[in-house]
Amino acid sequence: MVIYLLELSLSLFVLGAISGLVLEYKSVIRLSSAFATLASLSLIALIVEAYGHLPIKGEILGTPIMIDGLSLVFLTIIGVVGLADAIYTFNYMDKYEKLGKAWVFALAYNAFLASMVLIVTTSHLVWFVFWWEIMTFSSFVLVVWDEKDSLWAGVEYYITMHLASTLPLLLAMAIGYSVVGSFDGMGFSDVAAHIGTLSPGLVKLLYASFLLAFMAKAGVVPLHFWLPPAHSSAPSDVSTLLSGVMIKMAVYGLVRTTFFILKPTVTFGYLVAMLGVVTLVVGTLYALKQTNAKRLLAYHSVGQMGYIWLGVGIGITLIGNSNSTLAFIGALGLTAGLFHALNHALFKGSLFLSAGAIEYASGTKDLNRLSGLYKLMPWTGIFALFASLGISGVPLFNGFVSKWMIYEAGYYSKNFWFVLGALFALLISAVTLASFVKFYNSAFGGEPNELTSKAKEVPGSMLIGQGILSLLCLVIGVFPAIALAIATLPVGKGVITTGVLGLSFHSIYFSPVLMAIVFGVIFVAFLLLLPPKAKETAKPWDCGSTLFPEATYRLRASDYYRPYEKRISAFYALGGFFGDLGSEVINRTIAAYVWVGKYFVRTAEIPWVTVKDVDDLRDGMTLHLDDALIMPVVRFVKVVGILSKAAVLLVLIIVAAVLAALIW
Amino acid sequence: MNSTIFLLSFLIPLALGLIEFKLDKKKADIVMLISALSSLALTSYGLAVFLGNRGIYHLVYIHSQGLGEVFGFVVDTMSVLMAFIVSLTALLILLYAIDYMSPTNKLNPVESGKGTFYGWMLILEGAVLGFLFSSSLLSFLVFAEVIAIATWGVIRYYKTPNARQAANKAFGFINLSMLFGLLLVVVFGLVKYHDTSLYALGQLSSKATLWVFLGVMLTAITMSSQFPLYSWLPDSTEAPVPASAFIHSIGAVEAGLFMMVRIVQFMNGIPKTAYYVIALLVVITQVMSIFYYPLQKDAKRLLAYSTIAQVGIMYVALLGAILGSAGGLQASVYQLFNHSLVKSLAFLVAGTFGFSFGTFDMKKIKGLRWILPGAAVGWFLALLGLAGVPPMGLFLSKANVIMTGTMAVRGASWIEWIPVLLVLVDATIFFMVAVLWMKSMLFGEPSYEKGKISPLMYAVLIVLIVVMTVSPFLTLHLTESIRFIGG
Repeated sequence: MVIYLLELSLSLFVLGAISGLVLEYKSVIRLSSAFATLASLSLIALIVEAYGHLPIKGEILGTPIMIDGLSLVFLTIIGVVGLADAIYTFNYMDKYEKLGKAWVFALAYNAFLASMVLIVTTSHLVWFVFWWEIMTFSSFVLVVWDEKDSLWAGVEYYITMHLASTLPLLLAMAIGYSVVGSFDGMGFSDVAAHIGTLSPGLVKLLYASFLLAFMAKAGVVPLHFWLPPAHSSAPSDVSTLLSGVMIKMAVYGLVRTTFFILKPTVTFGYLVAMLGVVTLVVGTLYALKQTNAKRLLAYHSVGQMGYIWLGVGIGITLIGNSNSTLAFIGALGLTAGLFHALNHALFKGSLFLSAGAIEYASGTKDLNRLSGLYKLMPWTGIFALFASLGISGVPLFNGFVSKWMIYEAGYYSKNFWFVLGALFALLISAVTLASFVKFYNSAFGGEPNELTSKAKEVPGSMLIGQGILSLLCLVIGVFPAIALAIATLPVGKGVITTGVLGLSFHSIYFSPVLMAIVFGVIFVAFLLLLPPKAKETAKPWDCGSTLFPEATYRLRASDYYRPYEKRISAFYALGGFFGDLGSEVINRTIAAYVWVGKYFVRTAEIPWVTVKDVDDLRDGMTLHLDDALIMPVVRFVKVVGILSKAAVLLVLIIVAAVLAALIW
Repeated sequence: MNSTIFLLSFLIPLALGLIEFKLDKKKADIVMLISALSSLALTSYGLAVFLGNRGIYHLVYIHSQGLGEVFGFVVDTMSVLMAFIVSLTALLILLYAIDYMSPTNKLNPVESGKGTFYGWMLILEGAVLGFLFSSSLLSFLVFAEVIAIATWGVIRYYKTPNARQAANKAFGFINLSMLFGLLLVVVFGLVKYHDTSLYALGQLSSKATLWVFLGVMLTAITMSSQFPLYSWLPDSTEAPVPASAFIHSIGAVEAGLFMMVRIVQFMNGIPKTAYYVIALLVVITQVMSIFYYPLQKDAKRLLAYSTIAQVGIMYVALLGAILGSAGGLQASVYQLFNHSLVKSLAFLVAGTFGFSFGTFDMKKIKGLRWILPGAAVGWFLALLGLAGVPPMGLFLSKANVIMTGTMAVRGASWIEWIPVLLVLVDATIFFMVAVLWMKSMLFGEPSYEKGKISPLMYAVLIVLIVVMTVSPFLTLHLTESIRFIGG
């Protein structure tokens, strides 16, 4: 039944992919989104059906399939975010109608979702990499959709992925094959069973390859540079899938390969956790200074990925510990990481959809220019608020629960580095809140200005898309048991005890429901005792001058935290230094290439032209080594004037030699 | 196994090819279609029969006391599958040529003389098909000579000075390599053993094995345009585009590799010296093509260097086979199949640039997706396919080459790792070049008026895209039956 539902879902994605045959733009978009919606629904049905019957093994298209707890966590992410996103896409893509190519969208969009479903369900290393590549390929097509600003971002993304994700994965696959020796024997468990025969050097290479590949995909510092440009220049429904789902595939890959192919080792765990801490600090502090709504969200994706890696890293380090309390803390950390991945998918997905709605309605994503949208788009405003509270880790919203579990895992690990990491995570959570105060206030707060006054609430389908994800942030925040039922699957249910009222672990108890009641009572009491005064609005006082437009008196997004940004300018300078270093390395590599390349091209015929970049070399004639050796002889023969005769002679010699041999 | 099917499949194109020289226009089209279609029908029927009762069939037609096996067939998975792919690709290329070789072609309008072109093409197809089934070095030599002559014929078709020079170069290089390679080996075989059958290769002494291997290798790598005699292939892009598509995807280049696979399949205990010689040449070729890719602005020449490297990858897989892994043989042949389809698509798409804009200069083409959407899609898929992006088949075959290669060299010294790792580097550099060209070519303000290609050309491109996406999954498990035969 579960395999049947998986097949149903994949077939629906295939139908969606070929709905481009309908030809008319809007029909194609509607049809492909409808199929993607149905496919996501059948994924959700699959999760319900599979729950309690794990693991499930089967086969699809001749490739082995295994659905276990870990798969189910990520299938939930794909199913829920895919559902919301596909509904949102019904109307959102109308924005791009003049570009045509609806069939490409249908194909790439459905292939993108389907490939991720297959990534988390396949149990074969080669097919894992195959679907992984399909995912990168189709996401690239979607990222460069608008063919303008996104082009360079997309190319940067694709090349980075090829260098830092595809190459290591291929290498890992090759090492895996070298121990099993057959294509069919490349199942995760088969490779894991033979890994002992590898030399220590190759095992280290295997760890490094997987780590690099998943770092690049997850946008973990220092391989995060591709993420903000790509996520912010893609269409918003695509950004949602990139940030909400695709980068989670890296977390899946990390956990799957570490626990099911390799062995979780302490060193590797430390590495993962520390990368997480660095990433959460760098990503969030950079997010703080962004003024482009989608870029801000994209940098937060980097930051939140750091939280997930910290949780998973603690899990990898401690889960095998002989001390049962520490092993328990490891399991808690891993669960917290996976739970946070799920939560991040919800709130970040919702936020990107809201950012898309803002751009759809007002035509800009520049927070400096936006204002007062709440009055015009109340629903989008509410949904964005819930999701913002979710990502900021405010209690009663989902982000709080998982972040809190990560902090707890860090504290109780009794390990200096993890405690430090958890402290950083806590501090950075405040920065996240600050950043979203800015985000929310700039876009939704205040009065509408000239730019936004014409904005209207977005079509119903886009609201439903945002609503699903955003309300889930609240629901899971109040009843975490719903999501924890899935998030605890990979490590077993013993880690966290959940009830309707709340959750408990390690002698800690937290009840969001009771908290909601207590705070609700307090809130109502305040409302009754101190009723709010009617709001007064006043125009800014401009000292009588009429030269300056009113908008300039506003606190703009870039002004919010200017003093703080100045205070940590050394940090940004360091980031800038590494950025420059990266570009310098690339430039030097190209220069070195040009230096060698000059010997492959006849440049002497272009006098007074200094060859600076590769393009200058393309106009010259390409030189060949064998020409240099043989052409002098040919020219000599030509001068003598017997070239055609020489050719005939050559054939004659061959024929004669054969004949001679025959006669012998 | 009834081998008359295969005998006819290459005799028909050879015979009708000769007739073509006397024909032109519509009549030429019809005869070409009859030939290509019947060839495809025969090879597909042969494939169906073969899949029904698989095995390795050795049939000797002409055998004499003094010359041993003169003419015979080896019918096995490799030759039957390859023959099918050759005749399928040839048919598609020739269908495309019907409209490409026409007065509406902007760059090279063809008013008359189509018959001559078809004639050379059909002879080339027939020679390649015959080459595939050959069971002796002598018949390899004969068919290779026919391939060389037909290649010369198609390359010089436009009769421009460049085309003539390129044709002479191709012919000269291949013959030069035969003079010092295959021919010497054949003469040596006939004089010393009175036999050049592949089945005799297994019994050679270790010293003779080395020399025979190196001799055949010299011819094979020249046909495959590997270092040291490689430059004839980029120059050969002076040929009409369908001819280039043929040469690069199923012509002399692949024939050379095929012969090498056969040798490795039949030989016993190939000395390590042979391994190092061929590894050195392949490594030099790979490094060179890494430097050549970014320097090209001519679409066809970029594809030519990619052919050199892709065939180089097949040789890398073969290195694994020389070290004793049957997986290397399979990976090599699998890569050959996939490359044929992707490369012919790439050339046929490049042909549409010349056809509708009159240029192959990639710098000049902008906004392709607005002015020739079909070609834009084809170019996108073909270039990424060559770089090894799935779902195009070269992903799986390159993965296979790397996997079997790693398995063969695991535990060996670092020197043996170099060719395997170079496959990854090469694919990456090509990938970057391809993505950057696509960025500038596909998008932005169009640089030409809206282009137009005929429905038939569109149909061929679509069929090729479908075939190249589907075939890797069909051939993956079929190639697994390829094994060592000798000994």
